[in-house]
Amino acid sequence: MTAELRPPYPDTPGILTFLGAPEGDVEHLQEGMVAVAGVSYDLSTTGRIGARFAPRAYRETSQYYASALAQDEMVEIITGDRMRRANRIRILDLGDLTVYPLDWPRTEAALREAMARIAGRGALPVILGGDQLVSAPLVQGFAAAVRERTGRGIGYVQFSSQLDLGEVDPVWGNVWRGTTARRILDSGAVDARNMAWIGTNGYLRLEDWEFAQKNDLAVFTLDAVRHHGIVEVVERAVETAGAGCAAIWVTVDVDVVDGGYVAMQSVPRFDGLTNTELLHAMDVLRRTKAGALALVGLTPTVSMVSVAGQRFGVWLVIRFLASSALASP
Amino acid sequence: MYTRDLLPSFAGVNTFARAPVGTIESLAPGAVAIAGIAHDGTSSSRQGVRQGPRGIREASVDFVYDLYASSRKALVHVGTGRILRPPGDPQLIDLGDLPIAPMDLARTREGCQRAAAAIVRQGAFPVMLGGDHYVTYPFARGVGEAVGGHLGLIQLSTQLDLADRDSVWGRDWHGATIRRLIESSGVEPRNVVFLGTHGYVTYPEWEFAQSRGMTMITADAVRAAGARATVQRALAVANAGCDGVYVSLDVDVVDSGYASGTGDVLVGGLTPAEVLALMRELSTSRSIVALDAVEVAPGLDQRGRSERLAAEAIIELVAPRVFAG
Repeated sequence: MTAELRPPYPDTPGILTFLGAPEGDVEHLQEGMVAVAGVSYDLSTTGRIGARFAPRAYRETSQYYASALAQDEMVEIITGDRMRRANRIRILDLGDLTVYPLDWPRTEAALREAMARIAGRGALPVILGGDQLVSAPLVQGFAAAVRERTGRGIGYVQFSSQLDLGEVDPVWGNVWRGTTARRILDSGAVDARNMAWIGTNGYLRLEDWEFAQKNDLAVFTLDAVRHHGIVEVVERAVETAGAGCAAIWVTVDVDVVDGGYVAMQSVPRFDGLTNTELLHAMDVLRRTKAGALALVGLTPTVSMVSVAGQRFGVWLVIRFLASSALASP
Repeated sequence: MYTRDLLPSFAGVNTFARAPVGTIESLAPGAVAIAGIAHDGTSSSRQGVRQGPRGIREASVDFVYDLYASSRKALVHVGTGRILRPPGDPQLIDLGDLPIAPMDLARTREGCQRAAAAIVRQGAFPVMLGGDHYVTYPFARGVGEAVGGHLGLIQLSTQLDLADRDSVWGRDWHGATIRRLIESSGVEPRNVVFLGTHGYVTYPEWEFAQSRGMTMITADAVRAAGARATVQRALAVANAGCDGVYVSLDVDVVDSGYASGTGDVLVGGLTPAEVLALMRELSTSRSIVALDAVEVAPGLDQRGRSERLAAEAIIELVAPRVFAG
């Protein structure tokens, strides 16, 4: 583990850890720290591949903010948040978690175990995916650790255009991103009453929609967001997901945002949340039991000349952490 | 034993929405017939729309993968409740691309016109994949000829395409499409509706449209009225006294920030969601007899959004005809 914070660098050189945070291993995590970990896996996506490059892309573009944070305090104009990289180490970059690209059962077990160890040390995980499927074992590992520490369960909030409640696809079988939420549900890691979806829009497979309705799942569609506003919707989703729970896992699939804002999606999306709505969602979440954040689905290879998607993702993390790890003393 | 099974969206032969390949002669009444025109010789803008038909087909396959993979063989639109189901046989047929002669515009024009007329005479609904917007001229002429003469037109485009003679491009180019159409066929100016027009157009075109009683519903007006009221107004104008309405979608009606894969870079246009909502509303009208999606240049959109938008827009418009199960 690097003993000290990195000195202020210009935007480009140096080892590209997330926000210039020190590198470390799970054993170095302490209660209350933020653990950043990439999951470079994208083989379950049915659309365009490339999410395997997202962890690297997030880290690289985060230097833009790292450089500023290392030297000065930053102020978020809209929220008034004042942020500074803490003098003592609060964020640790664990690098990328181990995956075995052609062996999903082994990958799944490894991710589950890794997350259980991270959360078991009382750290707040920030996951840089990878395609959405990786959320399933990670949520299971997180749930196990939280139950071990608190005796209570977790909630799950998914920002995505899709519900991911599929079971088996005729081509992809059961190892595909569209099964993620169903796997979480079926594993018992999260009770159906503590799951919520935000921003669902466009066309879904009919069976996913019917399953959600039949089981009375809390789905807040894009229309609901437009009608009630993102703040109210997130508050209601968190109320559902957090009821009786010790913590909430939040997965943000970048396809929840209109592709006009973030085009780096495995499948082009023509409607969705605005980028600022999702940023406001982070402002709400950080005041709640949200105890883990995963960004999934970013496909940097869709646009090699733009960094808009990864820059946006890093900003989401910063907004999420603004009242804790990055708060000015 | 080997059996053909569902392929991933990136594999296989890319016909539109995995439709079977067919010929004009084999079209049954009520079928929707896809026909590409890979022509871009009359575009004054950035080149690349000759790849439009190929790009739209590929993107359409990706979109319909979920439809065929669904255990219920159905997709539901979360916002509107619309259900899509796989086409029955022979509702959707891909005719491939029509013959063109890149260096002989007159021959290209005649071939496209004859093909459009032949498709409509079979009782089918043609969907043409362009190509630059000029090909709408011969194709719509053929459609008009086959439906009996009087055709209304709804064009979604940034521009009016009413130029008379351009000092560089002459009379036959994509900026003169509608002018040529109303001069030479049964499309009356009073039945022409421009949807989503915005930004600067040449003053003579603007003046011509107004003096001939054409209807312009600008992008701002579309937003103010909403898709349903806009389409009701457009159809009332385009269909008055006509034997059918032709819909032409120039993908440049969408703001370039959302879809850059077209010849011109244009800002201030409609959003993709607005265009899809318009197509969904248009789809409920049985007076529409043909559709085209033109000016799609996949090579100019690294993100693959423009051809995908064109594919989804087509599917929305033909959904009640072929994707209703």
